[in-house]
Amino acid sequence: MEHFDDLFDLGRLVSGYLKNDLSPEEQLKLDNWLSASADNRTTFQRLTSETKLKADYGTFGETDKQTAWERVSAETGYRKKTAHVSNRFRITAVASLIFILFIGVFLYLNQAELSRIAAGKQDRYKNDIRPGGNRATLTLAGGKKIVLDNTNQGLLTESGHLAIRQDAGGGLRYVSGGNSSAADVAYNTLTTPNGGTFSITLADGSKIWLNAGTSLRFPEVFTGRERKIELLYGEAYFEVKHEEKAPFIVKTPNGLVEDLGTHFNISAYRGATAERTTLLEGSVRVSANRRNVTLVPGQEAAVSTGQDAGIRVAACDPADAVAWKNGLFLFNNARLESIMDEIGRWYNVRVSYGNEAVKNEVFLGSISRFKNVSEVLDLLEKTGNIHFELKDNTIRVQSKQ
Amino acid sequence: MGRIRKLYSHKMTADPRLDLLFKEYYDRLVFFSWQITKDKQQSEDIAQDAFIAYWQQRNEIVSHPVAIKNFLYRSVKNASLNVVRHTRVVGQFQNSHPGTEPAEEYILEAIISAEIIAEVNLAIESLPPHLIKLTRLSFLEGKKNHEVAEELEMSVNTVKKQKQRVLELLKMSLHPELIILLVTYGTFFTRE
Repeated sequence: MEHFDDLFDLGRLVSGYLKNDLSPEEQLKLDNWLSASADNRTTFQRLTSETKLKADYGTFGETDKQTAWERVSAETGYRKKTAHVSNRFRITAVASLIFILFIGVFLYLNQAELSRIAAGKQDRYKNDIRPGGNRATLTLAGGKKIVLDNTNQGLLTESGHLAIRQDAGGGLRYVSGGNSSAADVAYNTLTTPNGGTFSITLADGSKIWLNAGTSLRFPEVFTGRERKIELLYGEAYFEVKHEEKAPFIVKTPNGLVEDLGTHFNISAYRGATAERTTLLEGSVRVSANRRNVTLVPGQEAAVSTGQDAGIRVAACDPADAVAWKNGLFLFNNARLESIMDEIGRWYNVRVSYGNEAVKNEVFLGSISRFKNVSEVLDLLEKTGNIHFELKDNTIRVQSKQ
Repeated sequence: MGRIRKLYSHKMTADPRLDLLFKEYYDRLVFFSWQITKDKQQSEDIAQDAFIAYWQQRNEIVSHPVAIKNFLYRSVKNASLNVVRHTRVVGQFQNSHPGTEPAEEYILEAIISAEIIAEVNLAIESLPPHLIKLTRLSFLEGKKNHEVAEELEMSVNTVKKQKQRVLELLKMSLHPELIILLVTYGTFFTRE
């Protein structure tokens, strides 16, 4: 069937140009379209000509909308039902807004009172679960394991040219004191459990944040013409120190991400349908199965983990991808199933569902990751249709009847 | 304190909001049809018919916003072309001005135009409410400052200040071509 999607897109690009609110990605699209042909440029000039805009603006919206809607609603029998729904919706919306404001003031004025209430809530969620925190295991080349949390600080271990320290902020730091030969480079592995997060500064100054349930393998020092590390599984955010002569390469279970000077996030959890690389700054090249794409900031590449390991590139809001690093759960049109996956990993709990349909509910919003699990679940529950039960380290999700 | 709200579940999108669709698309569909038919009343009727047809067939149409938008534009395109064809036949019969069926490229461009002008209109309407009225009177209806002041029950000085404010607001969010449009559009209707 005939469809006009391309025209709608073009309409958005041209009106975005007129309104001065094109995203860099859209600007690129428009530029590409304009440089594609002289015909396109003529069309663009016609569409943005002052004479045409004036004439169109003068004609647009000169309709009798009220009468028109009366006819449409009468012939479709639509009217009654929606007036009711929309009114109720409005009342609910206003009520929740007032509620949110009230809670905000309340929280500000009375911390003690709040914790008393929180204590009461614990009756409902037996064995409430505290949020994840700085926890990880570092496995050294010889197989020795060091359990990391916030308690140890300072020098952890030292050998030859290398010192591994833990900063006051909690992160690991590798400090290389001299030139190492490429001959026997030792590899370490940093692993966060579910409910753990950790950051590490590598010997070259690149900084990496590990989300919960993540494992990263890297050399103690970098030698040679490339700096190659491996994200074995999980999710990590990279701020790479760019070096022209030694590109930084992250190997993932299904592909390679090569930094060309950059901040980016990679999510490669086991069981997910795709590995996602999100670029915030600079440039990266993502390759998988002999194909590769180069991303510009604000783009995300998804390498599907199935048989056909194709690479799809889409525009995205980078803030979504790195909210975890900034201490937030951020749900932007997120399905409940993916929300619960994230909660499960962070609080180290299992999740079970009473019915399949509930997985497809979609949410918008954010909350700190440093709340107890009951607060997060409460907030989700307040939206109306879902109900949680927390028992034996398992969250059971159900539709409310 | 976080806040989370539920948007929709896949089940709920199966029941689209006709009133919201109407609010969003009616004017642009009328404008699209008008570009083909050049008949105001016809284009309003055609746009209304499209919504009615959509509602009757909604169970066969994917309830995705873009799919619905496509259906509406498609209906309006076909109905508008029918009107033009019919007029042409009648015209030839009466041997008066035979209408011409517009070229496909013209029709496609008309869709883009409708989308653009609808967005532009939205941008202008998103000015603060008290300034929209002033904008309409001063810039669009081309009234003199003292007439606007009388109508809005404010001093001429306030009108001057607020007009300045409108221009500042528009400059922030609009491309220069549009500001020219707004300012000069007003002069079209300036009465001496």
